Amino acid sequence: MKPRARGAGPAQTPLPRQDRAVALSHAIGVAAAIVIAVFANVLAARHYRRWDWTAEGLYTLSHVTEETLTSLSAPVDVWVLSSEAEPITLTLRHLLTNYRAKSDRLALHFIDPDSNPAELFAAQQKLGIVTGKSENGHVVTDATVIIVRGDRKHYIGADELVHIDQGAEMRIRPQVEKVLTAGLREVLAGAPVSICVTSGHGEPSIDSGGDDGMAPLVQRLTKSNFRVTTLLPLPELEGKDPIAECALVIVAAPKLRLSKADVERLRLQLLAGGNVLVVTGPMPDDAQKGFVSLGLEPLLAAGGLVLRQELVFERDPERRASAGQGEMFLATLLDHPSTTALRIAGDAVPIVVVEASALEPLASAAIKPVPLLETSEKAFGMANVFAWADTGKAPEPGPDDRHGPLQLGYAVELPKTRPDAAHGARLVALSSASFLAGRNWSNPQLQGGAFLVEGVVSWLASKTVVLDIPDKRGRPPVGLQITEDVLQTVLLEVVVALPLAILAVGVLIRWRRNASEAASRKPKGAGAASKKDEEPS
Amino acid sequence: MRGLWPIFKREVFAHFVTPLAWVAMTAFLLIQGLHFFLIVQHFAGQLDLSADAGPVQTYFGQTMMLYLPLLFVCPVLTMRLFAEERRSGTIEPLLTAPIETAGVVLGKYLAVVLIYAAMWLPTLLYMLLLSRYGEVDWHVVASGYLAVLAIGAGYLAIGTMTSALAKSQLAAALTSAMAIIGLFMIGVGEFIFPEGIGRDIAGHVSAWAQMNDFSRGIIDSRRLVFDATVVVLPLFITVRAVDAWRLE
Repeated sequence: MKPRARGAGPAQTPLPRQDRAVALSHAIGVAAAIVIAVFANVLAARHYRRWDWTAEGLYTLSHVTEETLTSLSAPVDVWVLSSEAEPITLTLRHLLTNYRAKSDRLALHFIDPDSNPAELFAAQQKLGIVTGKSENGHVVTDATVIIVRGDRKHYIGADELVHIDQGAEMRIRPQVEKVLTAGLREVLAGAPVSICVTSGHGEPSIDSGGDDGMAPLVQRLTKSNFRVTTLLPLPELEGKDPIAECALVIVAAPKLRLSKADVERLRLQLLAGGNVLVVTGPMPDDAQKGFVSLGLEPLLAAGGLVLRQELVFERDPERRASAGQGEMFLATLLDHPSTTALRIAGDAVPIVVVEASALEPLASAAIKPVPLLETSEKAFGMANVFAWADTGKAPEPGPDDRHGPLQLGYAVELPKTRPDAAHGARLVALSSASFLAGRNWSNPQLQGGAFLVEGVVSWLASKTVVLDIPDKRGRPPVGLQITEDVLQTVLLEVVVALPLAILAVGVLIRWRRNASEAASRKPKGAGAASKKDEEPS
Repeated sequence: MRGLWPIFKREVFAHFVTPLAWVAMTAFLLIQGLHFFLIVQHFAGQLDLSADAGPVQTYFGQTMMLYLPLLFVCPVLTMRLFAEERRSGTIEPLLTAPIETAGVVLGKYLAVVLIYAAMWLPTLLYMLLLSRYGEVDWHVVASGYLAVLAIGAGYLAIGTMTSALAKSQLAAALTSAMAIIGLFMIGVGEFIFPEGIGRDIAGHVSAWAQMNDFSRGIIDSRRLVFDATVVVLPLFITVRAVDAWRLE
């Protein structure tokens, strides 16, 4: 495009044809730019990414959620029935949009019950929810989020989305991702997998809550589509032995010796291709003179393992707890398919162990168990704990004691019993009863133990990992610690002082400019006058 | 790009030596200060059990007070860019000078972006004040300012375009204010339209939704692409318009 010549004559008047060509070229250029812009936006809307810049990673999805979303094979609808006035609505919206960015099989529906009563009514009919009004007039529903796949529905209440730690310093822990992914998994899952937990030998009940109970683990497993039942000991059994129906048997920290028949029953289950998780630790007898022999040796030997009768002490100051003598410590996680999910961004979750024995492979065994967990080199296993306990001294390794690193968990897979089986029987042994304690699921500092058990259960039952979504770091409730006096100061600072300061800067700049202009005018005038004087008249 | 730097410098200098600029900045900070104070007052002594809806998020994404200045400051900053030069006749020497059209447009545009950013700079003090009395996530603060800058850059590009197309400053300011408010109102349709393409489009262009995302520390590629579009397209039209003058 050439510029038209400026000047007199015919060139001054633009040629109509050139004019049209220029106008047309401009119009085409602008139209093309608009089309490109629209296409770029359509493309961006279909394939987008969201980055979480929050320091706590509030909206960063865990690998479990990502795995769940990328494996979605059928459309899933997520309905959010929450008022825009509720802060949790925005949190849900942001997190679910991140979910949606990972899978286009997820359809999101947000309904504000306060402003869209018609849509709410339609959703009520479709989803079978109950609504009412709160004291402040907001419409509330018995479920805030409903996840629907076909005719399967999962309901999530508002109280499940945030957990509040009521300590000296109240902290809020968002649970949104955990409950959403659990719900997704529930509607996606097929028939539940059966897990049987041994009983009758002092094991904690699957219904017992609290710090030592198994209920938190059972609840987590139930949400991940496992069906957890109690396995009665043989003498109490009426009718057919249900062990054959168990995809996994958990020997759940017995305190009393198991009968030979019960151990043999478990051993045969393993040899027949079943899966067994043995969780056991050092168990002092009533007289506090020695450890209870639990009689599990034949079962462990079937997996090429032996449990040492000792108590492990950790002496590495960086690993042992400051309280106690070193019987509570951090263990090192080793690589195995069952522990993969415990690594967050490459770093292993710390695993806290309380009162453990050590496991070791049987020298004579043909199979090679894989270690899962071990102590530091400075740890040792004390065999004669009861003699030491009377001395009141700090624990020191004796000549009979074994030195670290000591293994606290092993996994083993036996050869296949049937050619068409997906894999052989699997056995995992963990040598501390603390792994099953309910506190692992309620105390974020101990959640490494919970993740370990969940990872192991998943591997044993050949399922995708259980819900090992780490809790977000808690934060204090949003609010400012400001008194009335401070509020007045803030008002003065932001509404008066700051605008006035800016105005003052403006005045200063103007004043300096005026001064410099005046100064530059003065010499110029003087110079001009003297020049004039010098000119000849 | 020939001409960009001298034009940029000239515009920035010309802006900061006018008393009107400082009065506008004072008014802007007065409104933002009131906005901030109301938020502080709201959160003072109150416990909100939400994990991600604190004063910072509220300041950047939950009230209309943030948008009101945006809607009016951008037209005021841009109205004189070309319209005033055309009125006063100073555009002639500019157009006949050996500088590229894109350099002229970008120089003027970047200057108003810098001025706009400078207007927001003192509000960082609000965040420092907040950190004195509560927890502040500085990552979220960064994403909040990124959104303010990205949305403002788009609005300033629209203002630059209308200044090049209008014949007077007033017409330029009115046209750009209408265009910006129109764009903003389409975004509000996100809360009005029923589920469907209308709501999707409204949600895509919604400055409100963008501020909601960014004020929580979420950077969404869709928003950045849209912002880039709103910057590039008006500037492209501006270049074509200025080119057309040069050819006359």
